[in-house]
Amino acid sequence: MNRRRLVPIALRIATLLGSGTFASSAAADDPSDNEVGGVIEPASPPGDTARSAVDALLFVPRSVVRIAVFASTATASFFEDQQVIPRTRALLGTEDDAVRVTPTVSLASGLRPDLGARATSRTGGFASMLRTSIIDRDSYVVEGRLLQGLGDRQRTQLVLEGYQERRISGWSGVGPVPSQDGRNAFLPGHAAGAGVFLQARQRIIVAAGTRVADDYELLLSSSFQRRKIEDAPDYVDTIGSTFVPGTVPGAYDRSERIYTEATVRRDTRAVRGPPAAGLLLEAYGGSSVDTNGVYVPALHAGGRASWFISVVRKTSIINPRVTLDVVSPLNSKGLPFVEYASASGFRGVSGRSDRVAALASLDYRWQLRPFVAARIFVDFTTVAPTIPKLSVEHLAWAAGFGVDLHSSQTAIGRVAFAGAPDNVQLILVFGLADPGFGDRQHR
Amino acid sequence: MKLRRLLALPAIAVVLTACGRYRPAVFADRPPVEVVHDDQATPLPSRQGFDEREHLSDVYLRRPLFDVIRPLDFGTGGDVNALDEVPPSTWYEPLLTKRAPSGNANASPPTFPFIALDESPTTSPDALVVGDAKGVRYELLTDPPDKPGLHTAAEVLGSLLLRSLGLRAPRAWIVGVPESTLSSNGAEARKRLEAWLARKAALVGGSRRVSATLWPPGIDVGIASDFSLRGDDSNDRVEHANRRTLRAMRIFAHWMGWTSFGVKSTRDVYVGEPGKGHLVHFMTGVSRAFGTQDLQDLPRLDEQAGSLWWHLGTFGLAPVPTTPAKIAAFPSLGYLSETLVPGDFDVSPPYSPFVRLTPGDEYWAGKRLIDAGEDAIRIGIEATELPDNASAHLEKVLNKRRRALIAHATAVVTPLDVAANAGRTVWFKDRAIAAGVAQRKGTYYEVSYLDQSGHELSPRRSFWSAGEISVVPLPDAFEAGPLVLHVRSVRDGIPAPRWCDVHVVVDHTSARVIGIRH
Repeated sequence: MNRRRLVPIALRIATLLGSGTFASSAAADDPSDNEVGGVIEPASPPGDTARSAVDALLFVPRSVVRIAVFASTATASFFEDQQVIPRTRALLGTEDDAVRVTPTVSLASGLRPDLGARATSRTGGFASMLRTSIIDRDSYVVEGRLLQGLGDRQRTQLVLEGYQERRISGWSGVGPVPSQDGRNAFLPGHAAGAGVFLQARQRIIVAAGTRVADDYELLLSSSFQRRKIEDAPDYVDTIGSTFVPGTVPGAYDRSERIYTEATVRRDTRAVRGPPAAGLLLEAYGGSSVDTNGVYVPALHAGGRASWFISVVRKTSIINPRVTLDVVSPLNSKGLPFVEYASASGFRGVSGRSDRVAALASLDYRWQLRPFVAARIFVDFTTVAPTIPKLSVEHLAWAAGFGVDLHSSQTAIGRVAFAGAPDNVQLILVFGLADPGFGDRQHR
Repeated sequence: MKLRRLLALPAIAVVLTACGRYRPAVFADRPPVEVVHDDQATPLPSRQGFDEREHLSDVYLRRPLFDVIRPLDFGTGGDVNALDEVPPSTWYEPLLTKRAPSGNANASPPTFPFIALDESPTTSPDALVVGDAKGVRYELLTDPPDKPGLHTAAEVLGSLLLRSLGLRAPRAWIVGVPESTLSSNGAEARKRLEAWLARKAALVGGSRRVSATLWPPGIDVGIASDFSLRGDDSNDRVEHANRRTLRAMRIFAHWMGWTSFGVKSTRDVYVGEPGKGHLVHFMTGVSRAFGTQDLQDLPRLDEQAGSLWWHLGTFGLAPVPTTPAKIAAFPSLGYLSETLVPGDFDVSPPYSPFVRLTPGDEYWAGKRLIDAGEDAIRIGIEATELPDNASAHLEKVLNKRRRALIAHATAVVTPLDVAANAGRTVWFKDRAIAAGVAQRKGTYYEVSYLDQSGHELSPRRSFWSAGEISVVPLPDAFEAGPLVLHVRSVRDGIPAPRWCDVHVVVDHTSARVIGIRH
């Protein structure tokens, strides 16, 4: 395990413990006689003293579980970050007229913890969600979504989303090996680094989707996104200190872009949550334009193919898949660096971007018990300026093992360890869809 | 050096675990709580939402992880009084309760005509919601055409049996419903009615055989959590996973073959005017009990058989075992075997109070089965209006299952209750002998006399059982003060796995019982 990454996480968790953020839930694991029982002091079997001592020592791991799992399970109650028309009536999974407010926390090695709250509600075919979280002094997320299902089985859905965030990210340049790619202009001595930047963005998405046949979904969506990118405060390795000034389009600037996309998907799996055999094919095409005419308009296209093959058991599934994303600028003006394609389904640390991004992976997933499945996987990814230049020469790869949780119709979350030649990553995701099959609007 | 110290820690823990003295509980010297007044006026709570994805994350991840890293045993239920009994409350309403009945005590069968309502059913997804001639809301459930009584009898019988155990369940009746008595109120309600009528159903004398369930007997405010408190009910003070009434449902559900029992089977209902009422807690959906969900015409591959660790270790590549066909003895019945293995029952997804079931909880459940008696089964089955042969078979099966569960529940503890105390003696009632699942002959009791720190005050004694009631004298040398009778039954040379502690306060002429733990 990458110790340098885990230590800060442990420190942050310890800080959270000290603040007593989740102290209110402590009573749930502390059953004892109360006033009804009339017990002043409970019985103590032989050896109970030692077990009590061990119990006290286990306070720390228990609290870690409380924070990492309790809070993240609560995030399981919101919309998925992909446009999917459920086979069954399954808006939010909540009861009619119920409003749920839940805390949210997201932890992942190498990333800052994300603390917040989310409220969801549903009335008939209408559902809504409001989420906010604060990551640190400079980073926050505010998000709202409205969803209306139409028809008896709600096979058509309309979505309106608003999103605002300030978040710190990194950019290491284009190409499979940025340090060797002439399109990147690194300052002397910074060729192997990543420029850290602070991005403030607002986004509105309007989407409509329909299940045109049992296995076919058709989705149309359009988004307006405003970004402002500047160097991250308090960081030494910023874009400005890594790249030659003026060579990173979109940096230190405000850009406004409209992206419109049409997607068709064929998914023959009977259920999307548990391991199930079937075929998933998806193709999309879209275009983006800069509303101020400063940056280049671009065409976007791509697709996914994923085959789920059962072996020995119906619920033991081998799953090879490939994905391809292409961004084609339509003239010679600069393309904002955040608009380049990257393999978002890669389960390692890649950070690679270019006009073409490809991912190939092989998963084996099997059922452990109802709603719980395990998987082993290996991912390979690379990027290139054009499709013919895709090469296996500089592949990034990651392999790992994980356990995931699902309901009958959708994934809920997963815990996984992914190892790569230069790092090991712990992935803990709850309430988010597999980014490998997510849409482009939510990136 | 540091490594050696680290290695020494587990060794020290093992030594500490092996050593030490048993210390009995310390009870307050006060009368036991006989009624829990959790029916104080409280504002109308909001409707409790339920999110399946959040629930599954919780039951499969957070709660098991918590349990694994918590080395202490699960404690006595928080709703258990000093005498190891559950006093009446809004959760538990024994038939001879001292508190006024609440909820649906004055309920009556529906009266024609019925008007279908545009409302979602609660007791079963297949039910139709109607208002009767008096405007009372009922949920109507039918049977498959070739299985008259399958669901309707389960709904009526289950409801009666649950109430005989002291749990709240909505009242239900078997009713013959001619199509002419049904109309609807509005276009949406008409759609629901037409869909319900379009479904083929068992008929009796030209009318649909229906179970009419009175629901809700107040304002339905949603599902009761199986783990934590309800945040907006000031009467709710015992974590639900620590409620003996819910833990004991594992035994009751096993008895009734209710394999689909889960968090959605418990609902909260607000009774009284908003602001002046309170919550009561119901079990619903019992039409799925008595093996009605377990019927299986042909042998079937069981992909889920085996433990989580088995599937993890075999990478999901072990051959799939086959479960045999499960066919009911009569078309009106579900698949409910005469025999059962006590303890071999669970539900999926896990139900947290079941995970926390203690031997003391199981013994309490066994006593409820004893007290309910065979009469409850007979009366319940009579109300189902099943054919005679099916009724007789179901009665026999339920009695056999009940007896097996009682035998086990009285074997996992020392099944003694205090029958009386006279002078400086305590009279024990052996519930196993009283229930006929153990014999007086071959039964004796070992008694240790302990102080509150667990020190023996007098040499241990053994004495033979005198039958249902046995008398335990106190040591002559002990003059006055608190004393713990630490008792274990031994039957045919086999000691009970757990001791029973009876806490008494003794003076020169009497012994007063202030606490019992099994």
